[in-house]
Amino acid sequence: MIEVVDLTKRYGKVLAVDHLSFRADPGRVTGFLGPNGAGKTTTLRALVGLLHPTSGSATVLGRRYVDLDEPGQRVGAILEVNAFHPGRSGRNHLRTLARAGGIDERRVDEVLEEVDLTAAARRRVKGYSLGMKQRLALAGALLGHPEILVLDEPANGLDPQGIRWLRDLLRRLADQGRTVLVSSHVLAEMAQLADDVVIIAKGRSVAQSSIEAVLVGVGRGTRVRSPERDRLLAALGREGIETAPYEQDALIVKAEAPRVGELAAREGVVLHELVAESGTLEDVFLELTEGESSPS
Amino acid sequence: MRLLAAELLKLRTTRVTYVLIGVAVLMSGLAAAAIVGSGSLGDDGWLELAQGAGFSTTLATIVGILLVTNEYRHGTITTTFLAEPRRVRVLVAKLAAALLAGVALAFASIVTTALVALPWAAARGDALPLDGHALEAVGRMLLGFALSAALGAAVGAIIQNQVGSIIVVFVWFLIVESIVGVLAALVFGDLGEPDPVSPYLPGSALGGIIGGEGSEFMLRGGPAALLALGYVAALAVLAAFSMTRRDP
Repeated sequence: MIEVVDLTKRYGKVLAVDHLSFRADPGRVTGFLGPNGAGKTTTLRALVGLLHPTSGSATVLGRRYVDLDEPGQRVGAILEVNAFHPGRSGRNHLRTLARAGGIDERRVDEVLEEVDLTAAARRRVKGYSLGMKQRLALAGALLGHPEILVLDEPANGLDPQGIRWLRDLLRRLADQGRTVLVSSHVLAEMAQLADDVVIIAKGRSVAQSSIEAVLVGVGRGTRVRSPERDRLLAALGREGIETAPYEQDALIVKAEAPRVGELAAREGVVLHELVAESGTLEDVFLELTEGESSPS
Repeated sequence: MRLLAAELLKLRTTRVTYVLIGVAVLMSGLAAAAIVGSGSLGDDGWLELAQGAGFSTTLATIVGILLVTNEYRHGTITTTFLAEPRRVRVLVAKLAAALLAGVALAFASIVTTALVALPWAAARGDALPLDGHALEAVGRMLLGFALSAALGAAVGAIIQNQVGSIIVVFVWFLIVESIVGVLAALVFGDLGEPDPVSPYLPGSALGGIIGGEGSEFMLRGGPAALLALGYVAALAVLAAFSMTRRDP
């Protein structure tokens, strides 16, 4: 579990993180979302002891990172896009990490295989593409079979297939009971990767919940298509749930998809489609962060 | 211990380490050839040879600087601190790795010097016996190279910027200490006379470990090594502050 409580980091007059609190639970992929400069990286660096908070706390597994036994085997993290010596091979990079973290060197070849870098393992990192570097960084984070993963913008530089691969990997890791905290400034990525989201702007939390709930909370919701639209409308109305028409046989419902689905099942209404509406995610984001997003 | 192993692996997996060892071999080989070739060796031929090879201590300082500043330059310091968040331990491992890297450079220089000087001197009939003088020369070389590398690592950890560290160290050694020497002479006596300041500066202390024979401006051997060790220790304390206070 990751817990951030009242975290504040001030650089001179700039308040990078302002009394931020949130938690990330085991078994979930928690997205940490915000425009560039919102304080995401500062928060994540404070979490793993790379910077000293001005006040408040950021703990991993109930402790400060520096107080963990064998942090290299319990927490895996990516905090820099390109933290490699360009002249060292990918494999040797991982060997130095394994040695420092007290991790069996056999893991090096395993993680290289996991991120599909075996063929390039003995080449110097200088010649790697951005996507390959991201995968190498991920391999480094996975070395110690960590219970906790803290990944700053891991999807940066990945192509659509890479993002899908990352999503599947993070899903698998979360399903194994690990805690996964992953940051991004790109919403579309987050919608694909995360179960829960923490949205921050100007160092402050502006929303925290499941992705669906965030959408619903600001007026978007679930898109539902049914041949028995009117019966569904009546049932939703009885529950006091707001609805809005959408195409001829579809509705936008201001409720989470599971609730809509369960209600329809109880009422025996046939559904043809039940979608957590994410087409308007960008609008939600802009609304929440008060338009201070930056070009992605 | 495993942090030291990781640091040594970092050294072994970058090319620049081998390039610097190669340069040390070349420099000490040339120096040995120049010294033996210039005529008969004096009573203490080994020490003359050691002084020739001693120029390569600058390479040891560079290795020490790179050992720390490469990590800041390439951002790998974050992964290093993730593996060991207690930064003072990282610093200790790096200082130890620098000492060992210095020893390796000294070893390469000693072997090269011996390989060039021994057969040549023997062929010419010069005596170059493997006696106490030889042992002293080897000891001075090992100390001089190891402390030079450790000083580089400590300065690198204080300044953290690679180019900045290299410039500061060499400007200090080559320019600042000379200026201080001149000023000290003006204040305390005459130019060309020994003054009470310049022998105790870090550069002349390091230089005196191997060299210093015949110079009134330098300490020699053991005292020089002790003073240099003191400087390295003081810089290491500053480095510990700099590394723990300044977040990467």
